[in-house]
Amino acid sequence: MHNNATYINILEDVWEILEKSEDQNVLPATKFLYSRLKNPQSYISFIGETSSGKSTLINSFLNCHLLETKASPTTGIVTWLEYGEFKEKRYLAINRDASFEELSYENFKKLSVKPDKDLLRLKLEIPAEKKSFVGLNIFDTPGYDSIVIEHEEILREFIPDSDVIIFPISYRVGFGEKDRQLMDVIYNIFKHLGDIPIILVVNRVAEGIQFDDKRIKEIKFAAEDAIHKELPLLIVNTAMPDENGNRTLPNTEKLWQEISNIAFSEERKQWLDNKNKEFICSLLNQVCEEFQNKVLVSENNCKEIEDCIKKQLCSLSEAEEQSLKIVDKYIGRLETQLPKQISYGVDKLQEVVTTEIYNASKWKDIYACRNFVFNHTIPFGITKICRDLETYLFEIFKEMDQELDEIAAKPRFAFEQQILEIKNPKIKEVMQNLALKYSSRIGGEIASSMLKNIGGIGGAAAGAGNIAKKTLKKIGGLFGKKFSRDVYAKIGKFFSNKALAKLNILFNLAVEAIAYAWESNRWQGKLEEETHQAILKWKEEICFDLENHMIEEYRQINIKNVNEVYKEARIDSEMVLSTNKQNFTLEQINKWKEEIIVLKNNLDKLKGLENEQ
Amino acid sequence: MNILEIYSNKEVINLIKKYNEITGENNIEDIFKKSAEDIVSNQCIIPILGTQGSGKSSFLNALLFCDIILPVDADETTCIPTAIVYGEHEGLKAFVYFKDGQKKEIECTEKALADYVHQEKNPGNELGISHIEITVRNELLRNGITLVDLPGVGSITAENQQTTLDYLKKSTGAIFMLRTVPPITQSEACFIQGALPLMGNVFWVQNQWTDESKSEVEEGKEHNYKVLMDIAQKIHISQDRITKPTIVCVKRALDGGINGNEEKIKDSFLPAFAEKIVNFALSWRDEVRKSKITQVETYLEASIVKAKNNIELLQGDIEKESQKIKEEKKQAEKRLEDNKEILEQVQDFLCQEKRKLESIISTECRHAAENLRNSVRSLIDSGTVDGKQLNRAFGDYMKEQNEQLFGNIQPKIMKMLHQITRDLGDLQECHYQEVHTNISSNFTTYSNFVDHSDKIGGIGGSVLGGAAGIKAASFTTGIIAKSTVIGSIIPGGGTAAGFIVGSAIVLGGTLLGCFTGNKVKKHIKDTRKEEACRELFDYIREYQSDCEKKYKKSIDTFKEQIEEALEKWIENQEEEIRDQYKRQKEILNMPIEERTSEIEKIKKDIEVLNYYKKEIEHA
Repeated sequence: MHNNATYINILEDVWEILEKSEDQNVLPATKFLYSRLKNPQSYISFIGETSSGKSTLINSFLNCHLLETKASPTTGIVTWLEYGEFKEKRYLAINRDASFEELSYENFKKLSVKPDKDLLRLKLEIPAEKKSFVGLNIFDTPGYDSIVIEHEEILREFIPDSDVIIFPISYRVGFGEKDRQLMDVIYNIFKHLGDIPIILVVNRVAEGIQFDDKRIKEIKFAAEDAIHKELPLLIVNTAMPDENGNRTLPNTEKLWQEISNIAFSEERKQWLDNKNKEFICSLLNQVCEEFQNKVLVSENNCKEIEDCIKKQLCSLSEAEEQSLKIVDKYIGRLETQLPKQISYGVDKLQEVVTTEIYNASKWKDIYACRNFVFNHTIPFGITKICRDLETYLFEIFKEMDQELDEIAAKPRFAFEQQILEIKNPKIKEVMQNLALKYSSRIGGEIASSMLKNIGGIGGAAAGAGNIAKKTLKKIGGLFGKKFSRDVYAKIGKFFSNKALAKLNILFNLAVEAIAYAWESNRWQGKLEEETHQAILKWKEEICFDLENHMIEEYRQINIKNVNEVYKEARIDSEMVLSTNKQNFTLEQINKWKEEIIVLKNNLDKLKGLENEQ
Repeated sequence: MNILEIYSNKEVINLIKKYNEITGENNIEDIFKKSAEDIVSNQCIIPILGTQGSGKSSFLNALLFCDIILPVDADETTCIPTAIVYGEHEGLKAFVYFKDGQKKEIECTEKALADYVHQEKNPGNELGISHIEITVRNELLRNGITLVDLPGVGSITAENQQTTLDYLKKSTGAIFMLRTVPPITQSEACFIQGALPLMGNVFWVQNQWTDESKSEVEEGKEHNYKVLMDIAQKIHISQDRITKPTIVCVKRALDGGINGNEEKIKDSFLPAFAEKIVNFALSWRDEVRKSKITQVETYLEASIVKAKNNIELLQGDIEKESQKIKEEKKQAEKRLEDNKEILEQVQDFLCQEKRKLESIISTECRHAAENLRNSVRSLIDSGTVDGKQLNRAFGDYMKEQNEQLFGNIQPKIMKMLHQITRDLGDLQECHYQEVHTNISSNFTTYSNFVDHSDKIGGIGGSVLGGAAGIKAASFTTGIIAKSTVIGSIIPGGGTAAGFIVGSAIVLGGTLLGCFTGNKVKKHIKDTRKEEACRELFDYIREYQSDCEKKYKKSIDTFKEQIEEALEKWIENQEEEIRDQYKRQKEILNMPIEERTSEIEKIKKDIEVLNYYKKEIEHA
């Protein structure tokens, strides 16, 4: 049983009350939720290599060649198709500043090939012809070149909010290295956010080839190894040109049927229904509490509250200042330690590489040796260096977190002591509520939340909807799938992928630079020199990056997190303080009381709804 | 009278036998014989552990030779365990011990030794060496200390794993070398995770390099300490076992040693550390001795208590006494029933956990195989098809997967172990006289000193070593020991906990074997991509099932051993209750006319027992 209509009724009923909340996040969250309830949505992400035929599969659904199928592989632009009850097709650009801009089809196509720097993503609104697919949002993610790291960030935004992931692979190309890396990224996201259905689509398969085909079996085997689970597989046949030699679209009916089965499944609806309910409850509860507190404070307006809160604000500032010093201390440690550890690892790696080169047979192994060193020895060694750095980073942040927690506990403790001395039970209640809020804010592990941000997680699928959805997460933390506290893999992958991407570029440069006219007895020395230089260059670059970007980024994010945590705590206190200062009329107080009753009635109504988990 | 004389004293042995039944598999003579051996052998083995490049060999060079004797080449040096022991002769002597039992003296120089211990000179230990022994007249070693240079964390292979494990099991303490830069790495953490349950006291040494600032070293030390605490927590080992690392500057010490610069040596903090080790060895010896004395005292005390009890029986009213022993028997049986219930719960828990762990193991092993195939595909796609290269890379991948597997699975198994130990803490002794309570305090110091069942086994009078060890630790210690010595040593109570700690050692050992095991079996000969893939994939399949088997077997063995030990424990308790009752009844049934003389005899026995007890106090 779905309760959408009831939810809409409830929201409409309390809308005006929610509008009065002093919390700025409440209203946008309400609006966002309302629109979601009115138009339930499903999200499908197409992820895969450049030539795998993602856009063609989508075009085939729309039954026209709408999307550019030869988009430049390096663009990082996501195209978002919303299939809904629109009157006409609209082409939109969503800019980084969250502004919308309507485009002509020509400009849309142009931007999809060559985006400008303000562009965040492209959006297409499509009037739904197939009614059963209304509410479908399709994300065509960019082709995946060697720039793993950027791509990974995009995927981190989309995957958590997707209902289904479509992973096309070209039959002719097979499941290659890039696919493997992509799958690995997806796997790591799943590890923290839980599984999402993936459909493997082998694309451009010649007519007559079946599931028992050797190549198809190989693709499935390799893909399942990479994602560590079994995958359903669909075959899409090559679309032959028509009698006039024009290109046609493949038959993808089965695929879209399957997508619809999952995206609009009863299970998914139920899940969403529960989430909606949880979320409305938390929204109503929050505002209810806010008003109750106001009533309490207004009815007991006194100097004692003011004194108590002022003291608390004071100790909060102190704690914040101390926290910033702690952040400084740990970042300082990273500044000295990380480069040293990299140097150490690089020295060891060079030893290993040298051994590998001189162990090769002098007379015949030049190319094989070089290939091996660049494709295995060095990347493997560098991954190891990064892994150890990641372990270190993780431990350091954990230590920092502990210290920050200890500091945060001080004002909390002081505040609790103050509360103990308060005689008036009503005032005590006000203060206890405040203390409770404070604990829940501070309990949130500053460094861990920082690590979360680094991984790029926290965004949502829907461009401008992003802001609203972030707000939602902040208030309830309930909408969307919950993020795991286990942050290790997030910094982990981020760091080593970045480092490996750098290595890739270096290697590509090196490949072009070789002129292998070396005499057989001298190539080893040359290769040693070449590899050592490549490794040193990598070290230089990564150290430069660390020094100039990453560590600074860690610092900024941590400072920001500290500021945010304390700011939130301060806002709570200041809200009480300001209510305390204003002399609200009895009429106003009674109005709040009435509104509290309305909210509570609605909460009861929600709780009374049949809950099917 | 010294303790060795008491061990061989017929009168003592006969009296102990007279008042206590032997329900275990060993007799008191054997137990005493083993204890005597333990005291005489007086060996304190301390292995040096650490990753390659952490400065193990340099540390030993600085500590013992003031010269470069052990090869310190950066490339995997110590693939053969090298033990350094005290020798009365001038200079240094080196002996190579081969696996087939042969022994050969070689020149004791860096160059000569390198020919045997160096990976490059002796690849895969093709010379079949078991270990090398160096003898030197060094005061540090005079107290029976044997220092062993073990293969580095990264260079434990299928070939040298057994010797390494054996040394770890025999060890009294261990020295683990850490660094400031880099701090404990993932591989090191993984190794420590595996070895920690096997090691007694660990001395963590952080090797300082000359270019590291003081504050940096201090920070590094704090950091390493925290990581170690985390590891202990992860595998449910008491964090008390972790001490802060000691800073030692090996390079400075070695420079000072070679150039005879005393100031430099002192500055390196090495002498201070060496003193710590000597003190440890001395107090260890002392503790072993003390605990052996307590062991004999316990036997004597138990005999006296039982003898006195016999007198009471003989002097008392038959009717009343008979009622009393019946009552006591009932009480004991009731305790036994309670224990049986606890054991049943433990068995249920074991079954459930075993199933859970097995499913985790299967998943993890499948993942490892999938990861291996992914890596192989990546490598082959990049153009590497040469068999030897594939093999080398594959070895790298496998090492990586082994670490990951071990890192994921072992803590879960350790957790189960921890829970079982806790549950078994509820078990209670069933027998009549609570002899053990008054001596348990004697053991507190000991258990603080080292909670290591190998050593406990030693005190109890038995050798531990593999599966038999557990039984040895728990039963063969003899009648009294079964309720006292072991039980009281291990915090958390009941004798049963003795098996658990014992099993932990075996489990730890097998698990560590999983960590180091596997070697690439054969070279891939084919250079065609498809064929190379197929050959490797076949091998990966074998690897997967092999790993699965190994881990599952370690749980099986653990489960079997615990169950067997517990059953046996219950059986022994039952037997003891029966025997005690039977014996008491016999005494009660003794004809009146014989009683007076019997009482006199017993009184005399008590006198003798008391005499030896006093002697032992002065031993």
